[in-house]
Amino acid sequence: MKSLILLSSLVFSLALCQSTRKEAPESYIIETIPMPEGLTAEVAALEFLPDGRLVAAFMRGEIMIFDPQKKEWKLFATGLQEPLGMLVVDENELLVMQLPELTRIKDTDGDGLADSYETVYDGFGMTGNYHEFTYGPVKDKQGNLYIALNSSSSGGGIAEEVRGELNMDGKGQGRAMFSVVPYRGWVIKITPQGEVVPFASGFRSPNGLLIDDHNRLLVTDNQGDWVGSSHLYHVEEGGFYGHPASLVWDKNWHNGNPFEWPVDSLNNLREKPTVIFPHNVIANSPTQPLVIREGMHMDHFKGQLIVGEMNTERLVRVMLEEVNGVVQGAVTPFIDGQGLRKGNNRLAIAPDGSLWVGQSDHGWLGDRGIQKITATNKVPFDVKDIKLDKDGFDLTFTKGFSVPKGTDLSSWLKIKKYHYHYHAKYGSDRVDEQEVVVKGFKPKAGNTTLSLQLDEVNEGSIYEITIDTLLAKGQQDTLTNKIVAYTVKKAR
Amino acid sequence: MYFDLSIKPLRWCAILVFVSVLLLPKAPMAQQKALEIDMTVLPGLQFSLPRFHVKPGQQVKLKFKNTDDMDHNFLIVKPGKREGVVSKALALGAEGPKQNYVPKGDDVLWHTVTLHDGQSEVLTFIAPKEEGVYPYVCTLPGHGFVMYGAMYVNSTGKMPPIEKDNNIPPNRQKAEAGHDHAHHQSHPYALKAPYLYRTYVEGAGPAAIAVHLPAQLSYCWDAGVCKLRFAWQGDFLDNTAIWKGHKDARSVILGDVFYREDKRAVLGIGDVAQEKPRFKGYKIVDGGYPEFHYVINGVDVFELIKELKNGGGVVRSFRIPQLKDQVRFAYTPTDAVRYYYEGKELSTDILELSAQAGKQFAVEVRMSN
Repeated sequence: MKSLILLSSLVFSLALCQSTRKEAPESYIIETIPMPEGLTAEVAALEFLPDGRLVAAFMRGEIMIFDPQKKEWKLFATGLQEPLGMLVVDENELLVMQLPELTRIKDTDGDGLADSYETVYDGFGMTGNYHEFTYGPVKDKQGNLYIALNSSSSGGGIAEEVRGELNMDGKGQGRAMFSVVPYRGWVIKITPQGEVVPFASGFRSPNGLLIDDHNRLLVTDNQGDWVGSSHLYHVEEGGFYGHPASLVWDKNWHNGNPFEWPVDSLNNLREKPTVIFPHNVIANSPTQPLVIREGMHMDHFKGQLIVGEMNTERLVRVMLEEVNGVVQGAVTPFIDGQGLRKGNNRLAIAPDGSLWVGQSDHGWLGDRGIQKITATNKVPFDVKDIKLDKDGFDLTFTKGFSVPKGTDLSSWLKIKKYHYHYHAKYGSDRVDEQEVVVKGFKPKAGNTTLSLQLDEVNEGSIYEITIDTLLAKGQQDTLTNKIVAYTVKKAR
Repeated sequence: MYFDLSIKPLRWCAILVFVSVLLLPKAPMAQQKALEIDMTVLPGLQFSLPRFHVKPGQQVKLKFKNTDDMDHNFLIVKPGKREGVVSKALALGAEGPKQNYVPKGDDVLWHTVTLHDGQSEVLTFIAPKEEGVYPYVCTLPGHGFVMYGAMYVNSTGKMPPIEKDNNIPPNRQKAEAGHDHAHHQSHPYALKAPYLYRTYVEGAGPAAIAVHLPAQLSYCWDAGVCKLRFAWQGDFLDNTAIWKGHKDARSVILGDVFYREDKRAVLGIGDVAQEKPRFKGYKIVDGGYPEFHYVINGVDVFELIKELKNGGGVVRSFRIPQLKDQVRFAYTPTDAVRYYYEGKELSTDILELSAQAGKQFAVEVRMSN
């Protein structure tokens, strides 16, 4: 195994040496990182230390550090409970989000092993339910930390003894996820002074937090009850993001069991998703988002997001824009197969710009271990960006396109629009799905941009654009990813 | 007819075959009494039965109950058609849910609808006349590659040894599947007491800390209420279920509990009404023991629990460096243990110490026999 990795890294370095002269055959190289023997490598959190070593937390409670140069793993901490989030302070100090609390873990005597586990925040409730996962922390420019607390699952119960105040109004019928102890289903803010602010509610299973380049908090949520298809939200203070259970812990909520409230009222109360990930088409279980930054050899996508996906061998890419003050955008596959495994739970960027992916299954669909994705000098022929227009969309491509002879644009580009129900039922079918007539195709800027003109653009619809057999100009490459789904929250 | 199938496939397969034979003697009544099969779902995308046997033409009543938190369906397909059906189901894309992820065509012999957690459906059918291995599978997106099994249709009842049965998922090709943890390493390092797990344990709050000490002793300290909950002698924990997650899994205590703390508050400081103690964390001190830190009424308390040298109990040490009032230490007297302070056995359920003596003190919990 070791020699294989050596060989592949040798091949890769050779490829790099030649890169000035020759384009690599593939846009991305995916390598599998060797894991220590005896480790159940369900990756719960993944970050890089300032010195370039990788730090990984695993579901059975270990935190281990990998030196990419020496290819050596070392133990850092043990005994944690499902440490699903991590923020690096320095080489000797981590903030770790585990099931019962946010913990500051330090190696104070410099022997490489953590010896201090300080509680930073444990003021939220627990019922002993297996689904009370905790995520984050992420840190904004002002130094505030944000964590997210999963709602509890109807697949499990409520233990006799709970932590925190019990309020059974947070439980609905049947398969509803619930929130019977404080702040399940919430994002919590912790200020640098240690003040705790229940920040936003309505989350079902928010397994992915990010502060983006604009200091915005972005959170993913998983398809299920009240989440027709998985979501990405731009989260703001005081917002309610759709799952009713958590409302019982809102200090302004005086309406009893929120599941008994009319759906229309809940729908009016909720913030709509920033981006919807169409189920079975884009992603079924989105995870952590991160920003594509300089140095990743992907400047064509700089500032956009990569989001993990558990259920398929895929990562997706999110393109955001602001339309009349509203953040919204589109999603397209980023890596699809190509040696990538399933269970893509956590992402981290190495100092050399490579993207590391931590995988987990934990009884769901997925895989285990860590893979490393390196972008080569070959720019993929892909949709670079999409912008909403008054009467349609502007698609830009990473390279100029050419239309295959004997066809016209309308034969290879189709648009469908649809939306999803907001309801108690688990997931949703597509609603009002229909073909959208493209009135005009206007290639611009040397065929790197394509304006699509529609009769109208409806707020609340997802526009799913399928592009087939589009060729890069002068090359045999067809478009890498063929589906772009834009969620129109606000029309221009 | 239900077997605890999480345990020993080889054994229950043998039982199943045996029962099938019992149910189906070479007599015409075989036509009347249907073979009943109960199928459920185990954590980790597995059917409870990795395989079963039926006779050609036999009446079968298969009850599929989804006992998982994910949705599942159950399809029986023609021999060799599993992968094809799974691919076709995946290709349904957004149409999948409407069709219960069941692709059209005659490769699918029998199927349920998509079932949520707790729902069940009974498939009643006459087994194929043609002998062969008929795969069954869940075709929800992604599931079909790992969640499948084999229905053996033949008159002899023969199935290959389970270790060599390529018709079932690789992780089920074990005679002792589900019970291999004893031989399996739990971590990438050797476990040496003392060590701990944050985990869910029966008999404590959800923010429990289980600590294994040398001398086959262990205890559970509860970070939710900041006190020792119970101590036990013997092996430590079985984490098999909790590490799989799902449902109401708990770490299982492997020894005998010899002490359980029933007192609501263990320490009382000063005369003011007691606030709820706040858990501040722990440090790993000399020898690898955790020393817990918590705050009672604004006063920092440090608590360290170690084994007695002879293995006959534990010693509970407290440090309260800023103590300015007297401190009361309460415990639960039982016949199983005796409490000692400075070599003297305590006769009540409370120990009162002055501010000076209370700054640092230790009590021993000795097992009675």
